[in-house]
Amino acid sequence: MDGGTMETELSTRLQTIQRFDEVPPCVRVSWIGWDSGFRGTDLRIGDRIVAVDGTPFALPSNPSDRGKRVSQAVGQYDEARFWADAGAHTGQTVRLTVRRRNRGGTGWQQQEIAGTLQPKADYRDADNEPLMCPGGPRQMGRDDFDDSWSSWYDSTFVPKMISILDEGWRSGHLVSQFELKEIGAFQPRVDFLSQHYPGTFAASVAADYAAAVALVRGTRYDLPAEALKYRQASDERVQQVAGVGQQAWAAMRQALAAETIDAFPAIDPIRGNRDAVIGKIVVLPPITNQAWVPEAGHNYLTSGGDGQGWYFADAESDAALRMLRATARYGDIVSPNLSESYELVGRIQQDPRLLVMDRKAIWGMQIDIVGALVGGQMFVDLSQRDAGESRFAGESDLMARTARLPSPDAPPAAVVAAMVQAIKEDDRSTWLALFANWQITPVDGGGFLLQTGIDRTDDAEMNELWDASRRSILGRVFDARVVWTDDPVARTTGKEFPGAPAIEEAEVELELIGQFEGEFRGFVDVTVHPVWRLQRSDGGPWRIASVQDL
Amino acid sequence: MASYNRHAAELRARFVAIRDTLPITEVAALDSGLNALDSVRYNALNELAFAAGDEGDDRMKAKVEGLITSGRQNVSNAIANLLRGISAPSLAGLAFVNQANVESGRFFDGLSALNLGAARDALQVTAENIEWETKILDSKWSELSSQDKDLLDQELDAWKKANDILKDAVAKGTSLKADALKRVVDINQRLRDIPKTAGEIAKSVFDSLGLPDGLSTFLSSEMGKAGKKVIDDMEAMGSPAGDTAKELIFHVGDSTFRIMDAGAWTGDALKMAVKGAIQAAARRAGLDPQIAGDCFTALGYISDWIKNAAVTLMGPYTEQVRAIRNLLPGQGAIVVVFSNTRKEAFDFMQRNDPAVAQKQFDDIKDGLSKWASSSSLPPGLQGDANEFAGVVLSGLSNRMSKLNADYQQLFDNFKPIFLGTKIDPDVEEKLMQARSWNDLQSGIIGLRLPDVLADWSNGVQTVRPMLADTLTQLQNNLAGLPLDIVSDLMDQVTKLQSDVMSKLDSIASDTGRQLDDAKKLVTDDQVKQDFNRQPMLAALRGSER
Repeated sequence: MDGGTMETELSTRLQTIQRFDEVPPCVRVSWIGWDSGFRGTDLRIGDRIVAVDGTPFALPSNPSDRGKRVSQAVGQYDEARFWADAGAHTGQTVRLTVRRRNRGGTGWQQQEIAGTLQPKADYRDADNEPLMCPGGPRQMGRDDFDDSWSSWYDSTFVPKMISILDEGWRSGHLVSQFELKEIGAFQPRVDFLSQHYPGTFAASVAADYAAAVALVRGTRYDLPAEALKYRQASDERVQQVAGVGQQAWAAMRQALAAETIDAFPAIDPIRGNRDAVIGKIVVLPPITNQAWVPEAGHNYLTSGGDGQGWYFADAESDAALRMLRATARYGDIVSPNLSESYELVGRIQQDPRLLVMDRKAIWGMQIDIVGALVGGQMFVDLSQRDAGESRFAGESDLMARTARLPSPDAPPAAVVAAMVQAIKEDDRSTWLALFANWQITPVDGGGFLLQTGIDRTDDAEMNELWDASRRSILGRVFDARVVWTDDPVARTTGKEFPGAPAIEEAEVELELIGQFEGEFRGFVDVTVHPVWRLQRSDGGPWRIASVQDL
Repeated sequence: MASYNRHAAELRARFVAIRDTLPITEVAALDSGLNALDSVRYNALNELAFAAGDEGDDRMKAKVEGLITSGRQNVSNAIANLLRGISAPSLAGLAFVNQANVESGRFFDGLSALNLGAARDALQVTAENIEWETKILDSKWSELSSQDKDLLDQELDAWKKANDILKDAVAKGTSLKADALKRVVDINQRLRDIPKTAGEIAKSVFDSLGLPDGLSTFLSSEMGKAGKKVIDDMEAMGSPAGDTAKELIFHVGDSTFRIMDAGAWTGDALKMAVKGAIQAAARRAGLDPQIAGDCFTALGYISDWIKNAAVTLMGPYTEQVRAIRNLLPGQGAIVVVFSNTRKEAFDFMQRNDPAVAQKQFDDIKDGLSKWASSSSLPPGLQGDANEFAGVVLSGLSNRMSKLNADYQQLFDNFKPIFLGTKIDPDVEEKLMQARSWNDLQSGIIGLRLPDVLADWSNGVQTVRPMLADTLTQLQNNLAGLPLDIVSDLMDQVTKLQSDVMSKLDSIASDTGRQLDDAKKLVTDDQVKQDFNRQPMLAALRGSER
């Protein structure tokens, strides 16, 4: 039986972190005591308290007054003195104006949450033993656990909960799966409390524990197979495309066999019987770079030689351009390592051509390219069109490439999303272009050094970040989603010196998605970066200022 | 020589304006740092300007971009170094450095946005393409004209051969005709001469018989003229006195002949002598059987003449025409490629028109001007930018001048061939040789082959009455002679006449068909069609604009 309580200091029973540097100045709720008058309200760990009973935080300029104001702020160590000075009483309602991330969107929600002031109570049982709460357990009791309830709760449970729930996922050192396993060890005590000491304390412990478990377990996502195509190994894609390509190549030649003639020796365009070959199909041996002949800026693919005659294909014909674009797409979405040798199936045109090679005019028959096997691996049927393009064999089964620089007015979230897409698609140039080419470096004394025009193209650090990002997206990270974007704040006003740029900054939170026990869930660990700073200069496009990997 | 020192002076002036507000350590750092910055900026801009205005043959895009990047970085580093070693720089010092850095960044940003390297290379590519096109058109024209000449030579050679063949055929035909006719005439003569020959033979017989020379000559002469009359006279004379007489006196016509010791001379004896003479003459003329062979030989000559001419026309001549026709697709290919080359050359000239390059140059000039006068740059940097623009534009202007000259040269060189709206007549003639074709056409038409062939065809018909008339004449000459004297001969002549006429009809029929076929090949219309260059010319001129 409880031996009663002894009222001491009145407070909100909250723990807060000073964030007076933020705009507006605030304290961030890091813990809500089990006996807080705000338990059961909508107040959440992580909320920013910007005003109390309608009075915003305004720090006096006088350092002494400033110190006092800070220490007496809600959740700070001397809060009770503030309320005592204010003549507050137990149960007095306090209205906190809080800002909370508008998770899933941008900016902040602001709301007022009312709670009460409560004393720091001293609970004792009939033996005058201090209790954790009315009805026990005893603070020094162990109930067959390794350490006392007081020690476990105050030194283990609460700090762990704070480390997780108070923006622990932003800290950079939380490993969610490790934490999930670690706090799993709390489960027996949490259950024991509920079973043996039911009441407010046990309920708050259970609620805090559940919240922490939910957070470290991560939000569950459904990632369809389509969303994971990018993870297909390059080698696998190459083999897949080569397989279907070579089959399609053989099928095309088979289909055209009746119209096909031996390519060589080619007909003499002047003295041969052209009528006998016009409209016929020829299959040309691989054409390499050396056989691309430029003629005053116009390129031709050539095949042949002295004594055996020549064929020419206009490399700027519609079919050839579709072939080249297909080759470029292959480089983007299959592999950049495609040998540039072109085996062409062509239909002989009516008109011959005279082409100047090595200063010598050579006669040859022109062909319309009907199909091509590039590098022995990529086949494209140029008689087929899809929205003006000819798809290479197997292309439709591959992930479409969509990474590109977002429009100049794209919001920060779109820029980060573009970065994720570029990493997925192995598009380093787009990824690199998303980073700011300026840098603001704070210096002692409150000023900053501004560096502009940074060229990161051959930056070794960027190379490492790119490699690390690719390893992540092909390893533990299956996807990354923007979950929140901060309101922009001004880093420079544009008035610091003549011509100074006005640089705004916005923070973007990214949820990294991993695969755990067959499920896709958000996670954090020390290898990933969920928080990204973006900046823009003089209203230009948003660019990433956090020089870090995914 | 550009100095690029205006911004340096500007920075120095700013520094002087704030130096009294700066800590002494910063003053010293900035003072020395600005000198280093000046040097870095000068080197960066100097190298960059020469690269962007480079008049050489190398592509400069990558180099210019690289120099912009390194120049920007080097200048930025030099600016950052202005406060190196200052642990807590003053806000005024920081503002000075940041301002310099931002201005430098804008200077290089603006410069980078101009894509000077790419723009300069675009002009270079145009210039190169013009030079290149000159060589390409040279090579193509050389190849086209060479191949065309080769084909034309073959064509003309074939035409000349055809022409020669026709001339030869006419000459040979004419010769054969003459030969054949001569033989017919000869046979004619020989047939006509049978009586005359018979007279000569008769005289020798008469002489050997001891007829008085006057009578012998008279009789044989008269036989040569008209054997019939002699025989008639002999018939009229009858048997002189009916007996053997010592002296016979003949009155033949107006002449009186006295034959002494005439013995058994009677009209019958004379008639026998005449008969023998005629038969001997006929044998001598080869009527049996040599004359028939000669007739058929003559007819063979006629056949050969016609066949020779016709076969020549239908064989070697058509072979040459076919050879020429086989060459035409090749020349057609040349015409097509020539026309396509004209079109491509025209397109090239449009694409590489100096107006396009001038626009590119003007864009560069405008870009540099706008950049150099940008309000985001302080006056000193604007001044340096103007100097920079001057160096770049100087180089590019030289390139433009050369480009313009090369373009005009290209146009002038190839205007007659590929670039003129019309193909130069000399070029057209070189490709088509239409004049040569026309000359040959006129030459062949001038042979008047249809007339010649018609004449030949008529010639066959001419021979027929000649032969018929001769045989009839012979028959006439022999008619009236006692049947027992000429019956064998008449039989032979009649049979010969029948055989010869039959053979002649056969030859006429056979050669007539061949001549008709040959005539079709060499009508004026056909020759004009065979020698027609208009379709090829039309194709060639199709590329004219």
